[in-house]
Amino acid sequence: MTSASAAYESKARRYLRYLLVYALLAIVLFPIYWILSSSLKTPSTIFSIPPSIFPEPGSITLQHYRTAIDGPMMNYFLNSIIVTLITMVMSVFLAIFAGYGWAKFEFRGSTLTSTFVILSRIFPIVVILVPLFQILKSLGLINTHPGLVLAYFVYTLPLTSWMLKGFFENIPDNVIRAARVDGFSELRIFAEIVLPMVRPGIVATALFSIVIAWQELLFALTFIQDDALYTMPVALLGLTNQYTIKWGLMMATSFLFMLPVAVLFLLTQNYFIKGITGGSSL
Amino acid sequence: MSEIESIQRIPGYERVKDRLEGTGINAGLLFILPTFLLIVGLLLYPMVNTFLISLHSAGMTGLTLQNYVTLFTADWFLPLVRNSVVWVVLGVVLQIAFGFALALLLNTKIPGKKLLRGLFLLPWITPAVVVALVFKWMYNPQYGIINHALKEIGLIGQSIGWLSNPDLALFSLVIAALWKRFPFVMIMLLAGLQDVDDQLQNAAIIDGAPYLARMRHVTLPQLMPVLKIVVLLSVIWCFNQFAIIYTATGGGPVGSTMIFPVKVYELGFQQLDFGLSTALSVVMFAIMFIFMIIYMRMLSRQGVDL
Repeated sequence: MTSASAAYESKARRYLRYLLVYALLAIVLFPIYWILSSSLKTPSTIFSIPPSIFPEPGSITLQHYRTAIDGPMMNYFLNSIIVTLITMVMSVFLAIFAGYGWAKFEFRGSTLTSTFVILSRIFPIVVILVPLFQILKSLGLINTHPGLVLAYFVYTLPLTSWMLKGFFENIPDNVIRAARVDGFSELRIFAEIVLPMVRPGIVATALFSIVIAWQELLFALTFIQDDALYTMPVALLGLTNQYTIKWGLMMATSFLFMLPVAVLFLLTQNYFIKGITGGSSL
Repeated sequence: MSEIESIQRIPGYERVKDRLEGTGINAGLLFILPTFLLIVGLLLYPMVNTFLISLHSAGMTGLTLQNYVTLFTADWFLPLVRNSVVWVVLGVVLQIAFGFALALLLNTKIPGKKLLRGLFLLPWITPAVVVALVFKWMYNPQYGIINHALKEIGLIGQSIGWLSNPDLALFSLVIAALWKRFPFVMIMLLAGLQDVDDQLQNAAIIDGAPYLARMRHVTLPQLMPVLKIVVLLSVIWCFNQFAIIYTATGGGPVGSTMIFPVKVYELGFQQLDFGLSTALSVVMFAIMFIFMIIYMRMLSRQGVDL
């Protein structure tokens, strides 16, 4: 498709196309730029009319970042990191086994259970908010990070196990069969042959779990009541409840919050794309 | 081989082996079991509970449909349905349209394509709360950049309360959701476009088929399987979206941005009416269920399976 259409394109049209792409990119990235730009403005310039697109060199300040770091934000940040990492490690660990089982074994109920998982991917999760709250409460897990991690499995497990199933299915059956003939135990086949072949899939599912858990608001808001245990999304939401919203602080905190995942994403883009497209790279 | 032979000499080996194979228990089942049980325990079991809780009402003994009566006669119920429909339909249409257009654009030869693709995907990994906050800031009637820019180019004379005007708020948030979600559609369709047959495309070009005809008869049919999954996932995402709306407006002003998930949360955890909240949840589930059946029917009639 690319080669043919490019061959018939005039030079002027080609540059027009580039221009269109870069103009759209500028529009798309503007909100992210605006977060950064607003976070660097002094309180007086942030409310200047008209607003300045670029913060004037003289009025650039890091004061909002200092306020954010000096406040309780670092604690919330740490909470988010803990919850996200534990969710990621456990979801990937469970999904590795599940994906392998569904992809490479025949057992009674295989189709039924895997269909159930794909249906759970399109389940409107809000629907179970109240009972999940009650279940966590009866388990003594309400208002705890382990409880939150457990609840996050609702989002992550269907996605991660389904994604890894796809990666395992890409491994030719003959590789596994050959290992069996050679007398490898199932465990050795799994650990020494199959796992290394799905490493990109493991990375991809880990990244998806991170993105999901990092930004989750509904469960964090509902299941965590103790201020000291808040994750970043809940803390950011709390900033909007003040009588006068401190936009500079809000934008600085937002930027700090999105930065780790954005950097991680730009560094590992290919894995994300492999994950979303089921193993093929673009 | 000697290992296997020695195992086979263990008395009863064959019998146990037969029995295990007969029940279908093997390593595969053990591999999937922890994950499967967790998903069932965290999804199916609560779903049953949602249904049961919705049949109980304060001050009533036994099962009752009182919550559903309260729900369907509430003055906020119809606006809630209308808002949700507008939110989902408009959101999905815009996300698909914008994502598709960008996928087509990025599928052409462009220098630095990989980096471009990554940058276009950034909104997708921007946390929903942050999306809501930055749009709220940009929409600000006094200091917001959007009002200022529109006044500058002469499109509007007066500042507009994008989020405070009940007629506009939902549409303003649809734009915020579009910004967050279009990259997902773009990347899925971009992947789908890789599989479009080059030879068919070239043949159509040589035959002199215009761009739109090629799109209609060559590209779209081959893209259909991906497109149908993308539509489904986008519908689910919009229907389930909580964080953007709750952070930006909390469902207001005067309920004009109130959609199902926000109302379920509000009823359950602000008004602490679990009965009404779960009744609404059941309605929400039923709507999704009916949509799914209709959608699957449509797909299978066209010979496409998910």
